[in-house]
Amino acid sequence: MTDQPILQVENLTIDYVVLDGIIKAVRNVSFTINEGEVVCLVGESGSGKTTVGLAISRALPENAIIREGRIIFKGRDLLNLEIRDKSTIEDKVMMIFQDPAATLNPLFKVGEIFSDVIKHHLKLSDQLKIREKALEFLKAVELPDPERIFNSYPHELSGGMLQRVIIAITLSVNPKLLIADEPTTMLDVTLQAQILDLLINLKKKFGLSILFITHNLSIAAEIGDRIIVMYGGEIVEEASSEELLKNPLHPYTKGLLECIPKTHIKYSKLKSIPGMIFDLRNPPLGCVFVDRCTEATDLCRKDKPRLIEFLKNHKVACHLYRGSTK
Amino acid sequence: MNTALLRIEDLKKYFPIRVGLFGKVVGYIKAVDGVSFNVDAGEVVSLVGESGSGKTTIARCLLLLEKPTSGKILYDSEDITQLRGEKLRNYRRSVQAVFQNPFLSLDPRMNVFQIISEPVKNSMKLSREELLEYVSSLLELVGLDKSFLDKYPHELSGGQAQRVAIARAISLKPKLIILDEPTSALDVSVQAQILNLLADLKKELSLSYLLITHDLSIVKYISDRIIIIYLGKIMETGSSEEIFENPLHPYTRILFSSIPDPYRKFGERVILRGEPPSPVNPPPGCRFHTRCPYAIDICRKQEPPEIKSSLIHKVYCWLHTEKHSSETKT
Amino acid sequence: MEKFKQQKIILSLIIRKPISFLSLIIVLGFIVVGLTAPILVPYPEDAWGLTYNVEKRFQPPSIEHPFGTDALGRDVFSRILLGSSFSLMIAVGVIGLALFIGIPIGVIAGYYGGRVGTLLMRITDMFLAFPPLLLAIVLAATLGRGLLNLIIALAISWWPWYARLVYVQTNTVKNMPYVDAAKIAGLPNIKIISKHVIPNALTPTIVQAALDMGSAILEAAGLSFIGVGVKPPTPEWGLLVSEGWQSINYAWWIAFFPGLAILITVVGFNLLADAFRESADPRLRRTILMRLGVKQ
Repeated sequence: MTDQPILQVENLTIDYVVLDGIIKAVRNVSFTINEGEVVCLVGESGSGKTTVGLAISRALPENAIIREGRIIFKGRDLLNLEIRDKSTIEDKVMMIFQDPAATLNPLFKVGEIFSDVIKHHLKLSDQLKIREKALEFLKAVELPDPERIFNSYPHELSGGMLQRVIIAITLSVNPKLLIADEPTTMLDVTLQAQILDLLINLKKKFGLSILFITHNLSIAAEIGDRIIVMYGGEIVEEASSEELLKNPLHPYTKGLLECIPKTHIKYSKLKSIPGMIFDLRNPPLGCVFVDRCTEATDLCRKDKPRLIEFLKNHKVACHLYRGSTK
Repeated sequence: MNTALLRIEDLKKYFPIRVGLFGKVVGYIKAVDGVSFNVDAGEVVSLVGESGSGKTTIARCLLLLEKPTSGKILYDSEDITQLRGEKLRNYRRSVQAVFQNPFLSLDPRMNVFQIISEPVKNSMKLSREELLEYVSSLLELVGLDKSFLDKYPHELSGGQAQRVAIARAISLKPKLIILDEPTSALDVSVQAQILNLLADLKKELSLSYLLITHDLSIVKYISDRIIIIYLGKIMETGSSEEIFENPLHPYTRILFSSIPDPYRKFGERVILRGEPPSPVNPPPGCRFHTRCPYAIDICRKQEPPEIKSSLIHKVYCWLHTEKHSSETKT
Repeated sequence: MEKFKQQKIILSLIIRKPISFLSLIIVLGFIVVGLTAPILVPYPEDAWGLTYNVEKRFQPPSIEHPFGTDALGRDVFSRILLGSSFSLMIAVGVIGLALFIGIPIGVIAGYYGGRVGTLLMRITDMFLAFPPLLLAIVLAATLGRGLLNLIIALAISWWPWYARLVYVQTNTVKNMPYVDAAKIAGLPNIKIISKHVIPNALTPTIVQAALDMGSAILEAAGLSFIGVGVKPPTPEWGLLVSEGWQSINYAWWIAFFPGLAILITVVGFNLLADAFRESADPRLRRTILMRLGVKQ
């Protein structure tokens, strides 16, 4: 792993225009992903994690507006690309989604979809070679009987198999950065473990960097090198996964960790974070977590804490950690 | 003393696969294939399995949303499929449900008051004021205030909507509530709120729960007894402690190992290979043998017998028969 | 209430776009004129076709007769004006009758399913298999000319579309967990259908039906034009065009103005339909919002 950032996101701010107002989905988000690194973006609904992913893969819906910020991928700003450059970049940043069935056109066989992608991206025209290439990738994602899968329609395959097929198609264009948005959420726990395992293996084999978006801190901790915790459109904490688990700083991160039921403890009462996320059309003036935080003070209400490197390689945005740098 | 509130005996539900214009039956999906268990008064039983295990079909049979192919579901020692008239209405009131996605289980065109009062209006005669008061008291029980009465589902957060669904479920003063993945559509920080609420309500209203889930991590907190189900058959059943401390069936162990744990590094868990087989042609012998890392010859041929490890801890696995247990001890 | 906010916003979006606004005005104008025409017409006898005046035949448009007079000396403007009442009646009648047949069939087939459902949908499919206009022509010709017969003929060729639409929607709604919840609460089927299934399944159909009125007017005019619609001297627009057709070379106004009336009304309805779809589709909304310069 080198420390060369493959992706830099700077001050990203994104709004959605909806019927009854403007949703301030992402505000001032900055982070980097190094080559070969797995970075997990963790947050609950309304945290803006998916919007960040969509912005990087430039797949934002029509009603999204990027107010500010830069997304620099291998030295080039993705937000200011000439049209002819777009396709070359698109090959290098790929995204996979939560619902694999919704990603594949049900009218075409897996093989037809796959062949189209390969033909377009690898500029191959020999049908036999295309097929060979497709089968090779289907094998790489550990699918049994790739021949049969090549000739199947999406509805004939299970959710876990479909997600593998999509990963195979995604890999065939040789991406450098893979954005995975909750790719295992719709799957059963046993299949979830399989897909996570596969992603890690493929990362090593193909030299991928991965931005893994999830609501599940446990999954993030297992597969991530680094974890970025988002709440209400802002980053509240960022650290390596070991550090974050050992020494969570932000009250939200602490709360989130306590919410995970541990199987070796018999609880009389589960820990939870009281309250709910604020209305995203009216973000609070001060800290985003202030309404649900037990340690909030007047300062938190008035003044937005900045994301600072409180400990070495451990950033947090919270007034509890101001000044007294260790 | 514990008396069985609900007894399920050898329940089977086969869905016919029809093709063509005239709906010729070409096979059956064996969603539930001979399942027996009971739910005692005041008890929380968890039915744990993955998709395709038949757990939701069992729930739908109990709720009279599906008709069992064979087997019996006894409530007060009467078969619920035979209930008519007042007895049927009484059963309907006694067994309620909370579903996974509250936004789908609440009619988007009704406000909270209409949603909660609908079942009440249908079975009790109350004046408008009494109804309003009763619904408000239910809202209070689930931790919401009166201001929610005229809100519509899309104005609620996931957690609030699930609270409304719970209020509706307790509105008829049921004895048993079937919880079908009640928290899996919610955010982690809200999941715990809902589970705590359910635990409180159980004590306050002396309810029984049948919790249906694929997530073992939430099961331990709330349940007294656990049933592990795979491809329409029970694999293991026992008290919550027994299952968590001494899981016997390989499938149960793998399920535990699949729970993501933030304090464990990747690669430290057993990963189950392959996909669950089709319930149209379930494998012969033990249903799990195609994916079981410890499968032996007999597993492929003969259905495993019931092995009792304690009074209520039972496992269906050849590895735990006396003859074979020595071969596989590790 | 919150529920109506969405509709209000959609309406405001429609109004803010000039062409949508124009279509809304046309449709509203058509409805208002259609309702009040019997009182408004300057020459009621001409309009109803009760009299004729041979001396005044084939007069070009003038102040006295803004759209001229026809082959029997009747005021074309009066006849067109009253014709709007007939068109409105036909549109409402056809769509209303088609919904009256289509909704119950769709709901019953969708909710109960099984053999009854299959049978009902097969019947619907049989009707759908005919080209609708051809079916309407055959029916209208068999039933004979007349306003009521025209409405019946068109409604019979029309209901299967609504039955299908309602069937599909009902099928979706009946599998929603809130319908299960109502069953679990012990509600009888009839209540579940009236309280949950119909309100949730019907919206798209009603919207579709309201927007189909333009097409109903067009088809009715078509049938009248080829002589299987209403009986003369009913001032139905299609019939007016057909009456003016023979003299198009020397008295263009007799066919031209009713034709124009059909064109404007039908285009009005269709544009409104498009505007509605555009405003209701969240993906298209932003483009409208941007074009309108809404503060973002």
